[in-house]
Amino acid sequence: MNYSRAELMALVMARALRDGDVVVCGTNATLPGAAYRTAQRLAKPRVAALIGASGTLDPDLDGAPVSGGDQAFIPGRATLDLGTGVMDQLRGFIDVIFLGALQLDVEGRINLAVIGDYARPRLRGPGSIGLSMVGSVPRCFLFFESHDPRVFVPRVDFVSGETLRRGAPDALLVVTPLAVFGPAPDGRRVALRSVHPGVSFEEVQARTGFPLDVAAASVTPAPSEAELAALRASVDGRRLADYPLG
Amino acid sequence: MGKVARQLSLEALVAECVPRDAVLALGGLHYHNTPMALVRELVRQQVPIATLVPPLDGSLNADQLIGADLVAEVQFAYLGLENFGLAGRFRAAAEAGRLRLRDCEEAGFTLALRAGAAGLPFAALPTDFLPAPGALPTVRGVNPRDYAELVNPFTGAREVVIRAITPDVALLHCQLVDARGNCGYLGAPFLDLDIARAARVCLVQAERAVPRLPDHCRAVLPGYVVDACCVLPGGAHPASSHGCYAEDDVALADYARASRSDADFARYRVETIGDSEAHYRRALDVDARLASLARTPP
Repeated sequence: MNYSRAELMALVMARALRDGDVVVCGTNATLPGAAYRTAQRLAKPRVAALIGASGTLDPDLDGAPVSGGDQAFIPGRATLDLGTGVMDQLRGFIDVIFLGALQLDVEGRINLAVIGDYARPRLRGPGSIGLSMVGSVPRCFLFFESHDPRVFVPRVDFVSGETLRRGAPDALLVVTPLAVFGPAPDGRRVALRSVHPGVSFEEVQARTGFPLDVAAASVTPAPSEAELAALRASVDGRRLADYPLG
Repeated sequence: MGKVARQLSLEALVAECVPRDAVLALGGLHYHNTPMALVRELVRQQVPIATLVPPLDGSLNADQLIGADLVAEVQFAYLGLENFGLAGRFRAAAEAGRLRLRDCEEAGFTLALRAGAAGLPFAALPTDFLPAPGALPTVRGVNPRDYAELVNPFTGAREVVIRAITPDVALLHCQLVDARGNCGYLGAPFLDLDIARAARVCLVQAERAVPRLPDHCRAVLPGYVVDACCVLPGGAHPASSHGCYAEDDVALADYARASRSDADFARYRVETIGDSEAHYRRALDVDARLASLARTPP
């Protein structure tokens, strides 16, 4: 069965969703959109989605646009104003938030603000934006388009959010083109969950900037036919085949 | 007492209504529903901005003002080009230390706008919501101008608060405006309704004027909030205008490239932004682009 790495990434996130979860998709909505629509088709019909930017609850479309603010996300079951959607994340109504970051460190801190010294950074990133929402949304799904030792670091250069502050074993799911990370059993550190089929532990370690805890690591299950069919019904297949991964 | 929004030309709206060295907020989100014609006119008239407050997700709107060296300080939660990459002029100015930064995040920024809209001096964040200042930088650590602590008088607990955002002027884009200045949104209003109310002066560019707003507007900004407007079909280009046209991916990618160097941005400023909105529309063949991007109300 042929599949792309982006398809596998979307399926890893779809598998981790639970029936009844309310998810928030923000910026760069393609992979999160594919993941929650696929989960709905894979016997989790009560997964609900709030598209953060446009404020749409359960948009009536497959093949998520790239931008969460795209008008194609409207209409759905309801359109909330953006501020209300933010308050609903603060208030605890949301189960899962999809995020990206410039850096993730071994203690689960995430950064989208700067690389290097804050006052004179080597790279000024966009800012902390929704990464702070891990302060009130219990499960964070982080997706990365490349697996790079400059991204997976011993210590972030700026703390936009702390995904493991509460120490919950399901607080974090990290999906990269090579592997899956999650909290170690103590809930305080990031550990390797699995490497994707055909990827070696050595390669993942070489491209990760902190020593990997591999105690519970396995191989990411390859997509089943049913999973791929559900995914490809949920998103334009070409979009995920061409999805830019480093 | 209610006011009736004045309708002016784009040039007059900027010349007469946008104060120099003001706190200036922009509406929309990412490259959607954002007042790009007003932004370009600020660049042409070289209006200096003391503090720029982009939308919750700032984009090429803020990047162009920063690239034109008009911005002394920016208060923001996100400033980037979403799937088109980093905001190159913002990045260059910040990395060179030429721009004062007030780093915020999504919850605080939104609450600060809502506080401003409600006339409150500040907003409190949920207890223990944000990372505490420590050895590593955080928004609370690097931005004491906006984030502070106080003792909750009801419980004695220490709480984190954020200063209200109260711009001198807000610039917004909407689809429809009626004779009384009521502004209609055919798609998402994003945070425009809060930005408008938080500002002392609210200026709007609309796609078209109508005698009365239709019932299918998804949000309405009451005319009593709006001070002046201009009517300019296609004024959000290359951003989208929900219910009228989609974003122009080609023009956005071209801008993303232009934002990456001083020379390329300088060329964009002369060749594309030009000396008038008519120049811009000719340079990018905007009328033809918009015809191909047309959308009906969602």
